Amino acid sequence: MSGVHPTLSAPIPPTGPGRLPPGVGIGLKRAHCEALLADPSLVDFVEIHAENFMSAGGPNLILLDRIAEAWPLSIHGVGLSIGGKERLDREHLQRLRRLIDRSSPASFSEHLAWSSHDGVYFNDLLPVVYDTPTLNRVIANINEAQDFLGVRMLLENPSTYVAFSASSWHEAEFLQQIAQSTGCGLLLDVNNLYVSCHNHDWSAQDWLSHIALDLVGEVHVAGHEAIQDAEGQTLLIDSHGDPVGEPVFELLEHVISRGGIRPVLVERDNDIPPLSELLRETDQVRQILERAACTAVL
Amino acid sequence: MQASFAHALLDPELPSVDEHGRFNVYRNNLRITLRNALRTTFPAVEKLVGEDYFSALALLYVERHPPRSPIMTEYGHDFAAFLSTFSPLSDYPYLTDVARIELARVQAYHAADTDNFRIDSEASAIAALDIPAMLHPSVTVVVSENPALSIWRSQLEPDAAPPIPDATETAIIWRQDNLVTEMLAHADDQLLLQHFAQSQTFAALISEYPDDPSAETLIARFINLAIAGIIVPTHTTIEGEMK
Repeated sequence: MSGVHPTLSAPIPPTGPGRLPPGVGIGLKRAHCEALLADPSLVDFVEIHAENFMSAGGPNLILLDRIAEAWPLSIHGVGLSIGGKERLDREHLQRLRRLIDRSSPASFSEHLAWSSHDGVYFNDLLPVVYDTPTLNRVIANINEAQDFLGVRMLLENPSTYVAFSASSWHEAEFLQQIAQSTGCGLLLDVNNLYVSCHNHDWSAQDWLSHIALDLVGEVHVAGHEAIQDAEGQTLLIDSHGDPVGEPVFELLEHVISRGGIRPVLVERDNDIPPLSELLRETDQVRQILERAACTAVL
Repeated sequence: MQASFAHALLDPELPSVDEHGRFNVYRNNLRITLRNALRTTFPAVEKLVGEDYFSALALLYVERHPPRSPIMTEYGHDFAAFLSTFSPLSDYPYLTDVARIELARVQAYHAADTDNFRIDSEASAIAALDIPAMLHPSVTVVVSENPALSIWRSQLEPDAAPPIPDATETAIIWRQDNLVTEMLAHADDQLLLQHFAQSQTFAALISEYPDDPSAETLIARFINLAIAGIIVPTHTTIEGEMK
């Protein structure tokens, strides 16, 4: 199974790192490493969480080197707290820099979220207020991170469960403005978009109309679960512990047909199923990309 | 906004900051992911106290000692100390030492690399005695008033011998050939482990302790620990990579 033919792909986005191949990738889990390394052609690229590979030495870094040798690598950070009130953690930036220098990833991405406050790390991607002071802070943080790391990064749209009355910006316009001001690209998480649209009664079509899709250097798909909130309303949770839902595949197809073929990653972080189950999902993504490639030729 | 949000995340007694209770999703997520991180690092402690008790214990620890670093494998650094001061568990002092062994295993996995002594002849063994040496960056020594290593093994290794009651054990945890390993320290290792906590030559030790244990015994133990990769030559450590 090879990737979608490069000549049929969309042009490399001018502002993102854009060096991931326009095919299908998988969020690499330890349980699947050896099986995937035995046949790297099963996927076109892989993504790892930066914070899982910040060891000083030992077998973890040996594994990292094997992964970086086998595939174009996407390093996905979860701990930089780009939307935080405080300055970026220099120590953490240095750890990221070491990781990037060691493995020369095709892409580095982080989240529009905060996770640290007053020295405490909350191990979650917490929502930011979409107002102008926050916008300026995020822009300054991304400029600092890109300068320090020597890469142009991708910024991922969040899934959120609460919205702030203080927010004065549309989320997509907020992201678009950040990308324009910093030169970063976007990581469009289609599941996050679906989840947030449901939770806040937004329209995904409207959301997408506010961003330039050529800024998108990578797309994520993942699973979500539904719970009831205190008022009996259905709340979607970005659990990363369920199969990718059909509406998320449909939204992916819409994004690809509008914006062109992109590197698409299947993410699963909890309740990890057998690799074969995840590969069924990567196949489904591949079919969507191949359909879009055929349409492009016609 | 972030200050009040952050404060409310850690205090389960505070009401949800939004009217729909949706904020609780963040609070629950935080508590569950951190509890799971502790569960991953301390599986033997969990087996010893039971799943439900561990869960409650872990959530209490999360409230009192939230993480200070985005690297989750470092979370739980104070868990052993927390257990030692948690009065309902004061009758089970070995839990603290089992937790120290489990944390040491995680730290050993991620510790810096360094070259080992190459001891393949009598001449190379003699030469090693004069080379400045230290403990491998992955080494932790857990001195326990209890048979802590045997208790740890009894929880996770099906064929492990049962712990001997009232025994005291000193465990060495380190990485050998890229595998995290643990062994009981020999009675005479203590002196060597203390001596090589800083970079020193073996010859410096011998000049201070000429009689007991005998120099022959110490040399034999030194060679043993050097071959195991517990004591390593100092000069090969990669600068800036030490933990």
